[in-house]
Amino acid sequence: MRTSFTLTKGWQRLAVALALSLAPAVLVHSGWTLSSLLFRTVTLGLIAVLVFGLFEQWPKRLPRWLARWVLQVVGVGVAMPLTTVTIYVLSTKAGAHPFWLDKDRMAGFVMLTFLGILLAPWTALAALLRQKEAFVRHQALAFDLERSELERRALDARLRLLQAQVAPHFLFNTLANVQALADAGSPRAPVLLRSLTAYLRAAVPQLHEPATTLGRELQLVEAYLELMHMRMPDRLRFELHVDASLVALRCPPTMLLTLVENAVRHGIDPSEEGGRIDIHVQRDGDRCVIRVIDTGVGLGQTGQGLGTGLSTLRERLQLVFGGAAHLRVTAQEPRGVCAELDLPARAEGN
Amino acid sequence: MLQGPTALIADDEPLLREALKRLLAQAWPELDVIAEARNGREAVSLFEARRPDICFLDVQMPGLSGVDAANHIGRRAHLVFVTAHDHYAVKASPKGRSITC
Repeated sequence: MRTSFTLTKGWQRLAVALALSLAPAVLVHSGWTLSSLLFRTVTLGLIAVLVFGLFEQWPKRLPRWLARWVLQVVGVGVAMPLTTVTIYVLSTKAGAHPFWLDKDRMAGFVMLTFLGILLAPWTALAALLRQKEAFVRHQALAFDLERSELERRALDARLRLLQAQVAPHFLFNTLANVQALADAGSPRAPVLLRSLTAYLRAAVPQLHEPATTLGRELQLVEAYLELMHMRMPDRLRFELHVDASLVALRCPPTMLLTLVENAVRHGIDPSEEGGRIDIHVQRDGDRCVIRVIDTGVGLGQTGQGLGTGLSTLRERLQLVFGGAAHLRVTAQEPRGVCAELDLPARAEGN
Repeated sequence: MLQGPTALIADDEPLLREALKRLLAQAWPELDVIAEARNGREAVSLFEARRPDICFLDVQMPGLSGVDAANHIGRRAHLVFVTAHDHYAVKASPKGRSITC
């Protein structure tokens, strides 16, 4: 565990060390002048904090058999008698006996050393424990945050999906056309309306489900293409080539529709002479490969890039398949676009 | 015999061309629709060939749009923008009259 040494943490440590240095000084000051005792305990406390902090950062790498917390605790434990000796040597007046020959000073030395060794390593241990707890709490909060972020994104994707299903671009155009035909009293109005109803019949049952099957998705796409063919009979041709063993494959709703709608909107519709759309659903080992190929105006002609539909689709594929699904969009020769979806084919059944 | 005015209609969707023709037949029986175009380019070339009095142009068409075609035809004919979608009507209206049908 390596956490950065923040300023607040530094002040906290200092405060604890000072409090612990003052307490024994006040409790056992008989035989000392209070000020000299305070000076000594506070020095000990500060040295303990310094040693603790030093071994927290240094050395950068430790051998495997030596845990950093052990180094810190032992370091603090060893620093206490060393510091006490230093204090006593330095405070010996010139010409006086060494402190160990002075009975009173020796008693004070032993008392201080004893207190230092008793208090400091335990305090260091307690500090380490608290740091670890704080770290765990911090981790837990970070996990919570990450989870709620993921939940929010899943909800976002779901809402966008609902929107795409309920209000795709072509639906309003088609309704406007039905209206125009009905206003003009055209006998084609009911035909177009019937086709629209067929599309909605395929689309609506999927609204409540987080996943659909490739078979149902193909029905939806076929209803959509029939509808669009009715609107541009001379400009849109299409064909589906489907490996029937794959229709039970589970997939996110409107996965295929997004690709086909894109091909119509950005490929066929902007083209004067129109083109054709071929949908291939094939098995390749344990993968399912879906290709939507159009002969429309191609990439970069409409100035809209690939549309928001594709980036939303990528997001949904990520949510459903993790990294196991791939979407590639490439230019076709001599013109047009191929959108290729590569999915795992094992999630079959039910 | 007195001849009625002539018209060209341009729309990329055949269903909408049909709807417009029906509407016009009801509202203006004397009007003679002499040309139908499927896009702006066809509209311009048919206009040059047939010289109708009025052009009904769909705003959004593949290739050359209705607005582009209108700029081409200029003041040589009466221009009417036709759209099934309200937001195009706003875009096109400064160029001429527009009706939503």
